[in-house]
Amino acid sequence: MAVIVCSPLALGFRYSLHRVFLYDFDNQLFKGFENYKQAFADPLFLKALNTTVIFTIGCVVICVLFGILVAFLLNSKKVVWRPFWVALFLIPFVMTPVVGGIAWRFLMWQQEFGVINAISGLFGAEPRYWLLDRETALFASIVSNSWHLIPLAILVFYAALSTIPDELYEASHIDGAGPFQALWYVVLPLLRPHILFVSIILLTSAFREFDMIWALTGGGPGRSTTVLSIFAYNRGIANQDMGMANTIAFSMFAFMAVIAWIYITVYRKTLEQNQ
Amino acid sequence: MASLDLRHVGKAFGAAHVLHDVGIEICDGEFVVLVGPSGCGKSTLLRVIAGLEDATSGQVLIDGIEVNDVHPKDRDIAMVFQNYGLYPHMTAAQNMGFALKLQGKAKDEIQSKIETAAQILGLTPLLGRYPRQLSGGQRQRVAMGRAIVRDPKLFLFDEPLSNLDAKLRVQMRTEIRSLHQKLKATTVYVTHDQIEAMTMADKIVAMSNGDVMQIGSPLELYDRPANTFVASFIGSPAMNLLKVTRGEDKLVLSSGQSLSIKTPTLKNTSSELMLGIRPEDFVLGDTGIELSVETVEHTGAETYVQAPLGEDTVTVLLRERSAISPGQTIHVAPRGGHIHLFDQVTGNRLN
Repeated sequence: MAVIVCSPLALGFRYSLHRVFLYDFDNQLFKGFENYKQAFADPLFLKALNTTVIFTIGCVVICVLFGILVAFLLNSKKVVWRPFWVALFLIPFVMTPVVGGIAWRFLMWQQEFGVINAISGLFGAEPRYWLLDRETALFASIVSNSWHLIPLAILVFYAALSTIPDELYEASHIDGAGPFQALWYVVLPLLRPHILFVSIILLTSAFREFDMIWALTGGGPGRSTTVLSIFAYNRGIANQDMGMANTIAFSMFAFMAVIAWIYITVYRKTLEQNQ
Repeated sequence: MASLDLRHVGKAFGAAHVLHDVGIEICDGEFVVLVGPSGCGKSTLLRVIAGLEDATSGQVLIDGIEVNDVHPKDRDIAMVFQNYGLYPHMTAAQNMGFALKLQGKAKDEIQSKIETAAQILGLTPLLGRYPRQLSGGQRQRVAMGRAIVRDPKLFLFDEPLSNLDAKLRVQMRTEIRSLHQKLKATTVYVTHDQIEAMTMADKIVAMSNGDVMQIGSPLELYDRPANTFVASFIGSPAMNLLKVTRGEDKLVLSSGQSLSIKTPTLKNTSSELMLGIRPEDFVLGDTGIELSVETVEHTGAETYVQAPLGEDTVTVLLRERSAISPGQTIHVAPRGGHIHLFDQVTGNRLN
């Protein structure tokens, strides 16, 4: 297991310390941390990092909020055809991101006959070029990617909610809590470890997202949706600079490793507290 | 504290009717135990009182005011659940103070009420602990503390001791009873354990299949059970119920033996009756029912003797030490006047 996990990492790290070109792998020149210095001084890298952070946080927030909401509704005793709704909400997750991206691009965000413009038109809004406008392309990418990831959150929260004994809801009603207070004081604290767990998964998934954004915008317009993975692809494939591509990829790994470590530490503590 | 009045309460889940026309009056400060076997509707009735289930028909009145459409949070009741219902992410103190926090009470007031309740229940050193750090008995106390701090109109207990071991159950039984004597709070307590009902209640409501079978003080139910259900449910070991035919100053048992008893004037004229005799109401003698002893159990203080009699099995409880052994033939007769006669068909008391 360690070999499987560590070998590519070690190889990637090694390339990140060298000057390597795509079609000239034999000719490697050791540069030490020069690639890293160069990357962190590059405004395009910092811009891609910034875009990635916004994209990731956006996806995590939307997925967690909608995930809890939908799971809460699905868990309601009044829901009929529950298996049908659960299956329906899981469909986006089993769809390939590229296919999902293409579907959203041509069915949802399309300017003339897309569903989004049709709905916003009902409220009197002007049709927009969602994916071709620098102001809206990132937002549209976040929404599309969240659509793909929300089922994961729904699944985990729904499973977690179904483990909360009815007695606790009833105790909170007897104690005088209304539905919102029961959610805030009882359900959400009990969901905290699950929220953290889902957040870690979503965070790592959204941070390295490539396919969905590539299918939607290809990183554009301009560089408005160029996240780090697309930036690394551009550097490695388009510019053939595999050393820099590996530097970006390894930096992404380092960021994620630190954040995941913090999350897991908090997650463990929360889990212990809730048991 | 308050009175509770249940008038013709019925509850159905779809086609399944679990409560039928239940009528109970509970006075201010009374400790009432709803007792019956699993599935008799006692917990459902408690949940209807709490507002966790809606009554399909009838009225629930607290202090004379109908609360059928009042949300549980507005009924001013406190409930202790079977599995404690403690919030795992809150400490004992936070669990106890949660209702007061929701009421918007000042922190000092909440703290003082928690401390008072903790003192009554001996929880003071445990206030900072989470439920997972407490034993079953301590959790139960916290659950009771949560009820006490609110000073509600009505205390509801839903089989609160069923998760505790036998020794702790006896201890908590006494504690709950003494707590009630201290607080004088109107209490409705659900249990399937007739010993709990007998030892704790001011008034017992015996239930079966969604019907109230009898309401009365523990000794009323024990001494004069209204029907064969109460007769067999209340008392341990259970009352012997034997099919008999009424004769001239005698009762003929299914085994063919007869008991010379002057039967009192009965409410029906049928000759087919059910004779009830409590195991402790038998006396050993030279005459009476002849029994061939099958098993003998010595508990130290008492001896249980079991013997077949026709299609029934008779249990005899002897308080004195006895040398009776299996296979031996003995004669037993009911202690003077301690017999119960029931209708064989309806099961209702006749004498």
